[in-house]
Amino acid sequence: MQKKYCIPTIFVPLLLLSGASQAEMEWGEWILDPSLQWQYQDNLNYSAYDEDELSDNLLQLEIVAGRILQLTDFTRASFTVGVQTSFYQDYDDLNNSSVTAGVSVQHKFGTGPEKPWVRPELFYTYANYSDSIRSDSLLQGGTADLRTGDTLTVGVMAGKRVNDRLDINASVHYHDRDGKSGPVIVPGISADVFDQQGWTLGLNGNYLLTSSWLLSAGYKYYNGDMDSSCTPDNVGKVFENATVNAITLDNVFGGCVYRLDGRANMLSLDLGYAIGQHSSLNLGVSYQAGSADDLDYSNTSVQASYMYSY
Amino acid sequence: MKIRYTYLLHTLALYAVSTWVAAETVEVKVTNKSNQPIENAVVYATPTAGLSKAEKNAGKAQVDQIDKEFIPHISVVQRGARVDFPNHDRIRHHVYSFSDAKTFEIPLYRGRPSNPIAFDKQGVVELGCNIHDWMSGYVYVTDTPYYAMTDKRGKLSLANLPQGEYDLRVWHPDMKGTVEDTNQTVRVSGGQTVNFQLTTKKRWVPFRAPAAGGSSYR
Repeated sequence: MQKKYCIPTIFVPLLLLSGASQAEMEWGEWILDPSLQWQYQDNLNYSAYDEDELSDNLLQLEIVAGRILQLTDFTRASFTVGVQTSFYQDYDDLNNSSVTAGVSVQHKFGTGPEKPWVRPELFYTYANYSDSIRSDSLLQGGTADLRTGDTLTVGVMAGKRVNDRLDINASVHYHDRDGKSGPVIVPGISADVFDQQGWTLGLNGNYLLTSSWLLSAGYKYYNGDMDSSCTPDNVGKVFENATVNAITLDNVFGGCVYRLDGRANMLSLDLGYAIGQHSSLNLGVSYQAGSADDLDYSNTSVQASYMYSY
Repeated sequence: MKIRYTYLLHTLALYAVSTWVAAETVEVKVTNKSNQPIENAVVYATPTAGLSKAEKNAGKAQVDQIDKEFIPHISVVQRGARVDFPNHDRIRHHVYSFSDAKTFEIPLYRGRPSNPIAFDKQGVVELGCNIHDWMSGYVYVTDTPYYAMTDKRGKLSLANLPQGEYDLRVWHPDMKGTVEDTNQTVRVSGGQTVNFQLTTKKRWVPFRAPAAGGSSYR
């Protein structure tokens, strides 16, 4: 937990840069960004075995509100609070609501649209699930919403407009998720499946197809904890092929869920259509391929969204 | 006899003056290669004989910032004009230009800057805001006071042109080539219509709407 106390130091270099400018600090524009998203995932449970992959549709409503504090001519801080609620069509035990508080400080290195920028950011999310283990005997009288808990994400983004049509950005984020404990089902192995940490490196490019159509392509590399579901039939194979760091019962997919240390490559493609100046319709697809020891995982998702920005 | 000479001289003088002040109107139409009208094209007429002192009267202009946009998107002023950049938004803007015709910067400000900016060189001044990269505007600076911008039909009238010979040129941010390429020398004697046909190119401004792939803004 010591690392959490170090996180605000990521803002220090920018705050020092900010002091070099003359403009007075002043509150700027308000942020109000509602969005509605539909998503389909073909391997919702992130199973390593094709025959056990489960798919579902998800509807997600999010509202982010906040305000920008202009620190100097070239530096601005953004304070936001977001509320998100998600509804699954079949696996409604995954329905959840979350609140996210975020702060970021963006510094632009000079004047002009093509000047690079850097943005350290910090987010704290509390998500509430209703995925309780309902077997009182296994929990010895208690219940646990395994996935309920908080996540701290800290990272840095940097970007640059390359030309009139293309802008690119790169990012690195670290997340630390603290979930709830389920019942211990394998002696000597933790049941804290949703206590997870991981690093994500990202590259993203946005390319204007026309003045109204924007094509975005992204690549992410993830290294850290991953969770996957298992069944009584395949849990043995899981243990044969990978080092399982945590395992417990899972009510959502009717078997067990486990955590292991893995890596994943993710590709995404989004097409956005501007509706006026403040809103857009977006269609996207993403593919994720992960591995941990001798197990391979993949998930494809398709999403459509409406986004509004005040 | 003396009276007759005086009368003749007065008559000649009146004729000369009336000829000099005769104001004519030239109608202009600007289209693209597909004959579609081009709106907000700047057309200006420069007397080939040069401008008189009276014609070098720069004046003032204003480019507002409303809802994080430059209004009007395109302005035209005479060289020497002083342009105000009042900010009507409740947030600060940081207006700048790096154009050859005028390089300036107004760091973060609200309301009306205390000093207008003098545009003292002919050419295109491209405006931007360093906070909101999608904000884009243009001020076209001409030497001559005889200018106008086309309407939605691609039409304009250059009024109050003294009779004589003029170089007519057109500028638009979407045009290919230079304004010099568009030059048409016209002897203005009234009732003329001048047509310009421009080859256009696509102009790009950063995407303002929210994007699923993320945005550099905020």
